[in-house]
Amino acid sequence: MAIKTETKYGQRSLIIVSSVIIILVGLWFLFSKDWPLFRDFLKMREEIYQLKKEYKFQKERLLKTQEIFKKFHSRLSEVEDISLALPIKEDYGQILSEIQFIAQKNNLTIDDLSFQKGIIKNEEVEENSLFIPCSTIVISLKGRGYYSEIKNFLKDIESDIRLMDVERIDLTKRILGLPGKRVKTSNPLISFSAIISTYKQELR
Amino acid sequence: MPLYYKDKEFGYRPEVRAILPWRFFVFSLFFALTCFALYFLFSNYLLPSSEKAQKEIKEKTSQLGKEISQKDRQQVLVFYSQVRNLETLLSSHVYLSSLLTEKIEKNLLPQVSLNQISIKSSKHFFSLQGEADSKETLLKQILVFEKDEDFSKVEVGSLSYNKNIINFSLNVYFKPEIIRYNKE
Repeated sequence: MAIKTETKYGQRSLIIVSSVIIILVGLWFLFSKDWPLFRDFLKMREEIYQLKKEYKFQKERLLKTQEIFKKFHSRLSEVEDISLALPIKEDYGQILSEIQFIAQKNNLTIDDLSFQKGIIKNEEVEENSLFIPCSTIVISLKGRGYYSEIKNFLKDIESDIRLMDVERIDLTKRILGLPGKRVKTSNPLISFSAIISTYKQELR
Repeated sequence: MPLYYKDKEFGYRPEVRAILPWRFFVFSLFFALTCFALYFLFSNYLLPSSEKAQKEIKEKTSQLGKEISQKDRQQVLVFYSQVRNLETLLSSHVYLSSLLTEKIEKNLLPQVSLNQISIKSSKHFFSLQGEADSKETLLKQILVFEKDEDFSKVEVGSLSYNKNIINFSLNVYFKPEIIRYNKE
């Protein structure tokens, strides 16, 4: 049996007009409300992607850093050796005893010894660098001894585990004997004065 | 299957169905509802959940930085600085004893005796004060220093005659490499 559905023009037009209005309202809603939210959502997704990337990068860095720390802790004895060459602590007593020991070993008499405290060596520090410069301790000393022993003293200072640089040395022969009857020797008694730089690692 | 309806004038006629408006209406309703649904989906679920995820990642990233203690960081930083400082310091570490034995002593003539030696490593020169038994000896001594390739300049400071002895002072400039461990 056939179904008869008769649609009048007025009814049709009403449906079409209301449909168009609904679509227009939908479109307005889509562009004024949905679209900004969608844009925000996309922006946020992009940010999350970047943050995830950053997190992954930081995590990899952390793993590498932890590896470095592991190695660092397993080689603490070597770290301590480095601290012997370039100490962290301000140890004037240690410097004094070290120089006295080297002098005594070489039969030298130290008459005068003084320190000048830390000038920071910062010539090569880049901006925002994590690198901490070291400072210089200047040691001035005066003493006496035989020439060959002074040379050995110099060698010992140069090869000491604590890094020391002899900046200046003055050797003056002490005249032995009466005027006109000088004693000639290849190993004369010498008065010496020296300026030695040693270094200390600064801390932040 | 075609549908028919009875017309008073023309009898049974094929039915013309008004399909378009109803489907169009349903579509428009569906479209509008979808737009509303999208709004609720974004504002109530997708955006808040994204914000939450963003916050969580930021927090996790900031937590990573706290996994290494400040003490450990400081230790490694100091160690790194020590190594870098030592590298620089060792490259400029001076060995004056080698200058004294290998350059001054070896180049000194037996007829010349020194009363004073003064070495300044930072200025790369040493000064000598001494005695020579004759002018010729002193001249020879100056020539010996000048011939040595490691010395760049020899200056005569002062000269004085005292009986048969010549008192002199010399300033000798040397190349910085000769007091370094790595001479190249």
